[in-house]
Amino acid sequence: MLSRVADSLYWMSRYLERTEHTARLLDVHINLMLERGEEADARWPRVLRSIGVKTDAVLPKVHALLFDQYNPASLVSSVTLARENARQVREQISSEMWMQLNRTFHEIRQASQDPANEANPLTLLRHLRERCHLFRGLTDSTMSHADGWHFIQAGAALERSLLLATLMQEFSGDFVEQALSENTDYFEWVGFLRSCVAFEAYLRSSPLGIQPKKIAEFILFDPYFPHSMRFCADQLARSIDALSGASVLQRDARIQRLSGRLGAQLSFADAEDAWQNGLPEFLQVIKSNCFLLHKAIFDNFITYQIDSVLEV
Amino acid sequence: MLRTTLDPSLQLFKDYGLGVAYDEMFGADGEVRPHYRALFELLQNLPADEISRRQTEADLSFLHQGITFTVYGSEEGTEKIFPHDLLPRIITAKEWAKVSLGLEQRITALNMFLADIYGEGRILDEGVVPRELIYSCPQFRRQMRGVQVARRAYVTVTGTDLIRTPDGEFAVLEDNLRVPSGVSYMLNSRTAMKRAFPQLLQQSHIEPIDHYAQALLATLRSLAPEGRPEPTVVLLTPGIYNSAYFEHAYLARQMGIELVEGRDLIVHDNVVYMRTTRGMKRVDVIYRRVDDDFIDPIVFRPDSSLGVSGLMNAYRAGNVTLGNAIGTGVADDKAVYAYVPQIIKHYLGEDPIINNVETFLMTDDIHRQHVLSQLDKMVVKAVGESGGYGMLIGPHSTATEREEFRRRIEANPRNYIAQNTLQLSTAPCFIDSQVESRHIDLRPYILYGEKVTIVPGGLTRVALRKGSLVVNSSQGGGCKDTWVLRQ
Repeated sequence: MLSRVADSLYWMSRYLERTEHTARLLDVHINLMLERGEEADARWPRVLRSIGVKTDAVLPKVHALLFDQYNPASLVSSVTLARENARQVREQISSEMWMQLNRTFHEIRQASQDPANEANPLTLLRHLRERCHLFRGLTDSTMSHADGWHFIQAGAALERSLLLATLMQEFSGDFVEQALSENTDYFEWVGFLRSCVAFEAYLRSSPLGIQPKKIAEFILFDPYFPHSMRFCADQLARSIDALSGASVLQRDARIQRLSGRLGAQLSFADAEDAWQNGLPEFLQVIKSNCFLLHKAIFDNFITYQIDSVLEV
Repeated sequence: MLRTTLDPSLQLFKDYGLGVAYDEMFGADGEVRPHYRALFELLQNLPADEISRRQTEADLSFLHQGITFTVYGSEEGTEKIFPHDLLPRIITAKEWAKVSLGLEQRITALNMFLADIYGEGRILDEGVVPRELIYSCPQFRRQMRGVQVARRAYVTVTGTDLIRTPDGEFAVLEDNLRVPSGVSYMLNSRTAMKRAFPQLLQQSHIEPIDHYAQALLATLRSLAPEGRPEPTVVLLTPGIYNSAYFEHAYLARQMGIELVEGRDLIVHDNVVYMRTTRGMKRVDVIYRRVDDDFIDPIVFRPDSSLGVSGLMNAYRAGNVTLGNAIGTGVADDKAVYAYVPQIIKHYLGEDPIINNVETFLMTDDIHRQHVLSQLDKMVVKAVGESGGYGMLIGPHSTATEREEFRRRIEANPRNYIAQNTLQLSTAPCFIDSQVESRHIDLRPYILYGEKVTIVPGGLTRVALRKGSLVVNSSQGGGCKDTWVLRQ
């Protein structure tokens, strides 16, 4: 497939993952606010930092995160960028996928005109998440699982790893505290789990209930849960194998080494390894590896030197 | 009670105007034409609300599919849905047979003409077409002199604009021989009609058009350079900011070929490659939707970032085929247009099956005086423009505009032609819960490769503003589905 197309598919997928994550985070946060309004302002900075918004600014309102097209972290920005990328490759994705995404774009633009959505954004946030899930489903069921699909998978897995790592870093100070106070921390941890769609899956796998360290372990190392970092690394490795496996190029060795390393860090480590040098540092290493992989994807498939492939 | 004439008691038709123009649905006496009877009956049985509902549904579906175009000059990236009218334009099998023959004749002659003027130039030697007319045309590309064009197919895709004059005959208004667009709207109009009027469509026994993309692909493949039995065909687009980007993406998808931009291609040793995730891949046939001027910055406009450096050399070397060829615009220059009847006669020894519209050349003193003396009755067009730009429609113009055109014509007579104001035929359109008549034209698409293929019908364009004669999408035009009845 064309390198430019791979580029667009990859970024389309990353922006959609970001849309879904931001929508979910806002949803969880607003829900928590409803029950415990007095602490709302205290909680905003963490939410904002975990989606990459600088917090020294005046606290943004819901509007800024939903509809402000000049705020790169807003939902409308993510959806627009995902759609712009899709628009450049609309003949490469299935019609169903394109229509779904194009429709979502028109819906959020229209929703931004209605002040009711700002006063109560929960319905819209839920709707957006459903749209994202639907898009992923359509991607799996209507598009050939060939190279283009693998670039979409790789984009989603990489973005999700980065978002999860950033979110965990924001909570990392709390993971060490063992004793939970029923009233406050419990809600925070349920909120964290819900932000990773992990509430139900975690409880099923951990009969002891809410325990910060167990939660961290689950999100880092669980091999079966789609929002665990281990799972994302595996998915990334599968897609990179599929993309580079069939090619005969020498340079593929490097990208496979990188994805292997990320996989090993998450498959062969356990909680003790993660805590040994401090959780934030561990997460930072994972993030650096993700950035290296991102660069390797571009070096390998998209912006490679031409003389490396033309016969002399 | 069902009626068969345009009757004042029909609420839906109360504002339907029958003028001097030929009306596709009604005869001059108001009697409905036989091939429109089924539609007329249907409209009498359907409440206006119901038609409106179907129209809204179709519009929404166009929006979600992103069947939109960009209007130049408005806020960048403004996308509009292409206005689409639900009432079909119907053509009988007999009418179509003649049109189809006429188009084949015309495109065959025009391809021979292009091969001649870029080759030996016999038609110029014999004085059938004046030499200075060709050499003064900005679309004449001397870089094409002596280039071997695959199968001598210069114009691979044509979108000829036909109009129906008040006597009911079709006439050619323009040959669009460069990069004609609109075919995706033809195909999508049909899809919309299948949803809006499934039964009427089924009862009417019409010719299918869905095979257009496959016919186009077969045509392009038949033009591959020698020794490339499994050619790689691509569609070259200027990118998402082009007004026809939707169409480029749509056609690439329908043909299953790559949609490439200039930056995806590279020329190495006179061979064109595209940059793929698995390395560079050779390209054999390029269906290009980028204008001549922008296609190769080394040979044409150096400021173009849409093209491919070195493409022209690869083309001259015969390592890649371009459809359409470079320099076809010389044959759709509006002044050269006036000579097409002679061109047909010269190469084929036949009279044109479809006539031209009477055209006045401003380089001719008598013609120019005639036109300037009655600018308010004439349509003046710049010879190299398309899309309804650079045009004066006399009866709808102001004195200042006429003065401006008079000045321009006198300053550069070669750049203008004039025609009498034509009464384009009218057809029923659904407008504000009423059926009203609007002016229309017809753009059939002709594919020229190993053989000539014309998909029955074409794009019927509609001037949606009441009384307007301009059907271009950039100027308030829309489209409707075109039905050619089977025998």
